Amino acid sequence: MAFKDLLALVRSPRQRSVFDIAGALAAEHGAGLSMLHLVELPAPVTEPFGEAIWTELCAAARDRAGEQLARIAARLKQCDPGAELRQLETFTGADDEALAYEMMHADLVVMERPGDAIARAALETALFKSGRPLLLTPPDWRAPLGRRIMVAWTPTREAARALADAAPLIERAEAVFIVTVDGRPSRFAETGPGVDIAAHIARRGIDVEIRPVERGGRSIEQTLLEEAETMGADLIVMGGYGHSRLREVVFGGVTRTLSETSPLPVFMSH
Amino acid sequence: MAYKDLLTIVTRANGDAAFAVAETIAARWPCHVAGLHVAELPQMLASANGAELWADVTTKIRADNAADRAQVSERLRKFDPPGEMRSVETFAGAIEDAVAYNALHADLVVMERSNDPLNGAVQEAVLFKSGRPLLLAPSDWRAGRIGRRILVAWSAKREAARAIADAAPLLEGAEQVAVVTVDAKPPFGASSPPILRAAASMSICGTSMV
Repeated sequence: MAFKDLLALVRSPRQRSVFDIAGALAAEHGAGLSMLHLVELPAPVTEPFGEAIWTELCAAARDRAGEQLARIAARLKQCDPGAELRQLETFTGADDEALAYEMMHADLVVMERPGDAIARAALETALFKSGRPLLLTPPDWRAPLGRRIMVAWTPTREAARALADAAPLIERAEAVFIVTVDGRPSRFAETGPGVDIAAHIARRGIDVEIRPVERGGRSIEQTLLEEAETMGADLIVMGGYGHSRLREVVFGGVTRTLSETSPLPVFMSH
Repeated sequence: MAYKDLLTIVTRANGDAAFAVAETIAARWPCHVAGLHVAELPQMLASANGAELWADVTTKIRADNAADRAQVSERLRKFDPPGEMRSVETFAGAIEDAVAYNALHADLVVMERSNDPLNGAVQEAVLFKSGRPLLLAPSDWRAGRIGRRILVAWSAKREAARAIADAAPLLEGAEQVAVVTVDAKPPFGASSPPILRAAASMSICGTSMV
């Protein structure tokens, strides 16, 4: 199994980790790579005086975008000469149908860990509207990924989706760990946490190690990141937003924290 | 790409179509086959004679369910290797989570299409709570090829994108795939219809696209 179509999202030519990782994945899987330069315009203004200023600001933003596009094209050519490059304009609060449309025609969306509202919106579009998985890269990531994969497992549809979508990576891994946090034996089976999913993955001919972990006063996010460091993981696979976004904004949550701060690449589906 | 872990869900003993489909899939992709028999128990009746009446009714229902399960078990033994037998027998409110738990540990769920309300509830549990794809067979389906000529109903929505990804083993093995859109408009200033983009993105080798 291999990825056939990758979509890499960049805000600027400086997002090196996206170029590196998308290029490496495309080479390893023999996948076609498309890059989408996401250009932020100021939000539209309709009031007459404001509209004139907005038009000027847009023109300036488009000029800058044009310069960036040239540098993005040059960098892209180095990592994958056959890759396609497109530009998509957006603004805060924009309708994301066009972006969702782009994403759903790929097997995997790759973007840097979100650092601003536009990027966070793109992350949510990927998770909630595209039906495709998302790979988030830490800005300074240079190494290969997917040699040692930590699957953060709960028996939920989001985690099941992420695991299924990550199959091309899991099949190529040297080591795969199923990590459960404060897991309890399921109500529906007499097996311990992670045992059933490990058996399912084993049917693909992949050996996994089950690592049940107790929080012991730490947050779930902290527990997962510390465990990932202990096992030397270079990729986390997890379900995204098993709890509602609003709840995570208000109370904090695993998806929000890991997507914004994880020092490792994170592969997620919703 | 292949299906390696198949779950067949039946709500009556005669899930013939579901098992026929499972056999066809298992013949094409050697896989682990599990059969899940789902049965509903009545809610407790809260009235003067309620408890006793409920106990009588439930005893009869449990006996019927056990007989059904025996038949399912027998049917599973005909798979090579023999399929794994599982069962869920619980109250209406608890059925969805139990079904979802089983389904999310499979690559593909196979069921028979029927108007039975329990069947409907089980299908919804698979579709909304398991994250895994569902293959629905007409109740009179018994044998034949699946996936030689495939029609993809494309809507440019995430559900369709997911379905196409999950159907990859079938799409890759098809002789012909037709992508159909209904009343679609070219999106976002593009001049080509959504169909062509969808067809191109499926990247199916050696299959003629219609």
